[in-house]
Amino acid sequence: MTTTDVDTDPEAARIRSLVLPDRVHGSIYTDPDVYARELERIWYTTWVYVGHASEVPEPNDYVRKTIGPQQVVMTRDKTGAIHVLHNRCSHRGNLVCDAERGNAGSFRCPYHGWTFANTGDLLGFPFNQGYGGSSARAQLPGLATAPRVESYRGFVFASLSPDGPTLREHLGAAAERLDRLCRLSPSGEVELTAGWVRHEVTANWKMLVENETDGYHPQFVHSSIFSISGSGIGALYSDKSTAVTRALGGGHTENDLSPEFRRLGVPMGWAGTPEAKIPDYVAAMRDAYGTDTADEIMIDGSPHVMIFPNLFVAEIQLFQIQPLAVDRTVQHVTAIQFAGAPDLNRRLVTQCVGSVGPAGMLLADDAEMYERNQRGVAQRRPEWLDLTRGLHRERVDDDGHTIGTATDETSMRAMWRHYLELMT
Amino acid sequence: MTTALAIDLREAEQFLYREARLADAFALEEWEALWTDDAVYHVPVDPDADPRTHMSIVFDNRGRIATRIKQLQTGRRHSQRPPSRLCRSVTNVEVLGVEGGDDRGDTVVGSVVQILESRDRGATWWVGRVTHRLRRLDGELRMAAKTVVLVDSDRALPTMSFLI
Amino acid sequence: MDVVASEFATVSVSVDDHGNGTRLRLEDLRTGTVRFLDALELESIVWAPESWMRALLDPSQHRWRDADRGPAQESMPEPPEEPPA
Ligand code: FES
Ligand SMILES: [Fe+2]
Repeated sequence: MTTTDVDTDPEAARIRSLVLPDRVHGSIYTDPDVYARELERIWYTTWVYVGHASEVPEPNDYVRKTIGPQQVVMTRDKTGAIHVLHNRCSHRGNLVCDAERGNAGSFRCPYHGWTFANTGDLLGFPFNQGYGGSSARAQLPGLATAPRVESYRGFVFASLSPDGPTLREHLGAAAERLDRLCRLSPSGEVELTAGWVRHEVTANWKMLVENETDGYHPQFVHSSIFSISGSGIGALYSDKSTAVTRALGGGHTENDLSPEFRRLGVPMGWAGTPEAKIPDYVAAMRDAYGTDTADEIMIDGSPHVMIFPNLFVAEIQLFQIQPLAVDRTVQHVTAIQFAGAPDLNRRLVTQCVGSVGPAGMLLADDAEMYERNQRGVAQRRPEWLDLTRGLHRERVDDDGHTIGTATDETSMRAMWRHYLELMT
Repeated sequence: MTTALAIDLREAEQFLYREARLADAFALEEWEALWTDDAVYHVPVDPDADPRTHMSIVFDNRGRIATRIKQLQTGRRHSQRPPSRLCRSVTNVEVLGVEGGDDRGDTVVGSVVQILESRDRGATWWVGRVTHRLRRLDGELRMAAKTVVLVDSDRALPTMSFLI
Repeated sequence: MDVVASEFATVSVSVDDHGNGTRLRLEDLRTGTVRFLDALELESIVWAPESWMRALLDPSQHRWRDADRGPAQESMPEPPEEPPA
């Protein structure tokens, strides 16, 4: 990563003065100039999660998706390849696709009828003599495509920059967390087929990213639900817990609860679903992996990983973070579904619906905290947000990752380190 | 045809208004007591999707309704601290029919709800079509199901942690 | 599923909704070859000039074309630069 020369880029120097190893300045969440630079340097440069291959299962399927405030269409062409197109007509800029999803080999703009293949190629336009005949097609642009689209285990990412690290390099150790998620399916595949709930908050996107792996807040923010539901989740986020907060590199972070799940040793304990309620799933897993490995997988459970900047896998649910403005963010959320596990999948939908979204018994309260925080940091003093929790007890694990205890702010510090690399 | 069990428009309206008033006032126990044991409380994203396999905004059985109420009662449901200020109107009430047997079934009542919610974050206007399934139990009206289809259910919505 | 049949060809016709939207599924029952057509393609076929349909019926344009003209499964010839009126 190259670092911008301070003399030629005073904005880089200013941002470096706002993000320090042990604190960040409140304006980093509220300054529209910072946000504009984030769009250019983060959202329109780095790998951003767009969608999952299972959302376009058939040739010519498409779904509308987003890269931050950008509207894109994720398509599968007739050969099976996945494309990410900007939803903007190359004639006069009209939005081309209106439906959330559909099946079409080509798109026709409603304004003047220019027609594009689902790969972006311009196929034609009405009354082509006005352009000197259909041969003009070769000279005129088609729909703009994301310069780089790659997928890992069906998770499709795009980068709007033609160069940079590969997706595999970008994911680094986070890729293994997606592996860990996928192996919870007897056939090793995740399917995102349950549809989306969209929850908008009046807060800066980084508030959400930081909160996703903040193990310090659950005992407070979610005590109302933990205290009445008998959920053991709250106890996992305490100083007594053997769970750890881990910086995976590249700004990716996780709360690794598996040490606790292993200590408790209950298959499917992480999902709060006793084995006996999902006999088909358990049998399919043991068939697929053998009893010992299957039990290990079902005990270890699903990851709780924030893949910078916008993909958050929280055990049974998947969130996609979408900034719309410096103080507006949408969290798209769906229940993770595992191929070959219909009995488990239904329970996951029910459980997820209870937890997430505008009325969710967990997420509504997280959202309240993002919004209160956004209002709070707009106040003038004390200017800084503290990031020192657990700084003195950070250590490095066998894989070379920095770890802290379950409630330490190791993940936030790591996120900000990566943020500075991208922003300055 | 009227029988002792039938529910007419006037009675249905009275029930809906009362339910609305209790929800606005966070009269939690009284509101909870309106539900039958087999209750389903549903706020879909896509009203045509199967809520057992697709995401909803709310999809509560009776047990989860109780949990939702208890969570509010802890006083630590942060998104309702302080509680939203609410005022809702219920209009366009129609008896749509009977489900599950001629005169012993549940009466299906359609209505429109408009709610102004005021919080520190600002005011939100919630509007949707509501379907109640009402049942007479021991002489009292109860709701066996309530579905609220918000006009913007599939768009990004702000937090909605009051009882809609 | 319906079958449209004559003494020359037998094709089953159905509306398929396994994808994210509906499509027409056509299957040549004599070979099992399947083609899907989306709504915009169907509308375009409705409006296609007769000369295109006639060209399509020329056996050497697709299944029975000479090997040096490309793979046999490609069912449409490259369109003429300016379709005849
Ligand atoms: S803007 Fe799309 S055809 Fe004119
Ligand atoms: Fe939380």
